[in-house]
Amino acid sequence: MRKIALYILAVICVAYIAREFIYYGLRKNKSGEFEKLTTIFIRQNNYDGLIIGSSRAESHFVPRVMDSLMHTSCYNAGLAGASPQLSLAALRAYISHSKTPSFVVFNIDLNLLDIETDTVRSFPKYFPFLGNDAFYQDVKRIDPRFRYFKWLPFYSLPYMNDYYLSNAMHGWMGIETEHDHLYEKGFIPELVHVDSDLDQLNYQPQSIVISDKFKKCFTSLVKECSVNDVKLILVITPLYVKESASIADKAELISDIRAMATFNNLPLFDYTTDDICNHKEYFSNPRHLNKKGAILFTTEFAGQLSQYLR
Amino acid sequence: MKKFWLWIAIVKSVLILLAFKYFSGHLFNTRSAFLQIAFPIGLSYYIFQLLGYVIEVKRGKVQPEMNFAKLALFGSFFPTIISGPVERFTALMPQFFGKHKFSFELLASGAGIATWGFFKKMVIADRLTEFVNPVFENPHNYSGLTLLVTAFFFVIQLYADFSGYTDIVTGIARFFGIELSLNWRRPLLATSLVDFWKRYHISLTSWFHDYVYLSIVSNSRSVFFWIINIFWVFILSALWHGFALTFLLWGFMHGLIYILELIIKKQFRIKKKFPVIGWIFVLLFHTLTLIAFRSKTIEIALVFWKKIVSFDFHIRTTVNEFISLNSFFSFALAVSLIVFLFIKELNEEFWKTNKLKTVRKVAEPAFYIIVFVLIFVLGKFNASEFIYSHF
Repeated sequence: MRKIALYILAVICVAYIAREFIYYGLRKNKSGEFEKLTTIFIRQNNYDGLIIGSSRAESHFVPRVMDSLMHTSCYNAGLAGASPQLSLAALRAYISHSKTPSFVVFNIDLNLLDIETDTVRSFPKYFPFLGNDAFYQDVKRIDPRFRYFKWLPFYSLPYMNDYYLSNAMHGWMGIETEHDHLYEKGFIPELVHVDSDLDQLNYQPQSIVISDKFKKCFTSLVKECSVNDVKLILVITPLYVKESASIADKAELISDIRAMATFNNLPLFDYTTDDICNHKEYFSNPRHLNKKGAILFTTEFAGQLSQYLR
Repeated sequence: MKKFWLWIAIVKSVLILLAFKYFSGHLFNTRSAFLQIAFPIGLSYYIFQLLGYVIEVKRGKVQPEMNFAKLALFGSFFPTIISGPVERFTALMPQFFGKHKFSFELLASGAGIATWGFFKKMVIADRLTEFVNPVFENPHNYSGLTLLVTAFFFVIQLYADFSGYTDIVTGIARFFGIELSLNWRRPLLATSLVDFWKRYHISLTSWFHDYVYLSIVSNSRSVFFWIINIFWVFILSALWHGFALTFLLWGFMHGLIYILELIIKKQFRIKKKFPVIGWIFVLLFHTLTLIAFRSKTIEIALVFWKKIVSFDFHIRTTVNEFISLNSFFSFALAVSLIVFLFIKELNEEFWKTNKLKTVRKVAEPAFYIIVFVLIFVLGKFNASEFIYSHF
């Protein structure tokens, strides 16, 4: 019996060592996606402005442009596939160990307003960062499996597919992966390109209703910013005109969001009717600007934001 | 009278097997319009196992088992039910009713074997599937060297998948104190085709030898019939996989070279002076013939062979083609795992068991503990069934 217990103990020890080897490798990355996550969840930062949201935040706001036009220091903490709940968790995690930014830009995704899901997209990428207690507490509320992911190596290891293993090896060896060089202060240009003409795509009508989950999350975000004395700025970034037109009662939806912003005394910058939305040459796909579009949009936004902040 | 009942048993079993294979679409690779049914898991294997028993009874080597439950246990011992090994009545049956005591050594060695089996299946075989499947789906898009490497990957995939399964069931059976027969003896290290077939899927090849070959060879003593009989066994075992030209061609090529090798060895009395050359030949021959086994149609196999014999080999192109299928990391990992498998096989083949016993006592458990954890790190958990469960 003692021998069996010894074997089990040895297996568990080796599993923890193997897991820490992978996680440490991921956190060791000096550029790219995992360097960004390390910045958000582990490093002590000193940025004046933080951008949060999903992939539309990640690929639309160019901190370099904001820095030069606003004479501030910004960081793009947008996370691809992040729900508003996860964006809030990232903000809390960031604040828990870094200097509180003076303003936070929250990109509102119209297609995430009715989100009801309890899972985190691409969840294994957050495993190495569960040591951030603020993040762990939040993320396990979104998806209770994170409780087991944190403590049980045999539950989390099978999710570490080749993408993570490869990145861990790159981290250990100090070599960049294919897309790492594209990241700049958390911003990465949209990589999903639609080759065909955006006008020829089949746009399915979308009916979006703001969910209670979103309203609750929005209230928490407002409260979090208020408690920490952070200016919260709401932005709806450009959508390609045909994508925008496919949203039923869009005007009503925007008006509801504006009412929520007004109620909380927050500014809302809506770019869904901006001229940039009519130019397909600025889009990678109907929901995401390309790099040229992102720089153009950020230039316009930075100008308006610095006026507002003055 | 005994002969009459033997034939009844054989014909009935073969008809059942053929019927299920036909109506499940396994026989001609197309489903019957008349009736569509699922193929019962492991049907071939327990039919083979029970037929072996019937033939042994007829030959007077085994006493008929009068207790149906005991016979059913022999036919359906759960670890072996999917894909064997095809056990012999005399080897398995006495073990069921012998005394079994819990032993840590049995548990540890069973766990070690099963762990290695899981590693071969989930880490090596299922990882190679990601390269093998897309290339066999569309070989026109790849260069000759890529097709050759893919065919070699399939050799490893099939071996890791099937021998991995055998290791898992052998390990599980050992937990209960049951020793299953050896099914694989490092066939990829064989130095001749005859040697290869003594190491490959041993329980089935020996079944075909004992119950098919020996049954027909006793009727004839001429060289011509000797050749025909060997050939017949190869063709029969090929057709068991399915009534397709691809399987037939695979069996034909193996039968032909097997007989040629036997004749050459008899005529020229060649001794094993150059085992490495023999090893390369067997590996290459097995790789090239297994293309027919894996291809859905003979046209696909022909594309493979034509492109390979064109010898238009560019290493950079091949590496890029494999990277395009997955990633450089996955490709490099797959190659490293194959090297790892060969090192393990070479170690088993040449390690002298009485040497360095104390080192082995520590190294072996450490090895299996690391392998166990590596399954969770490198394994494919969304993967497929065992290849041979289809047969």
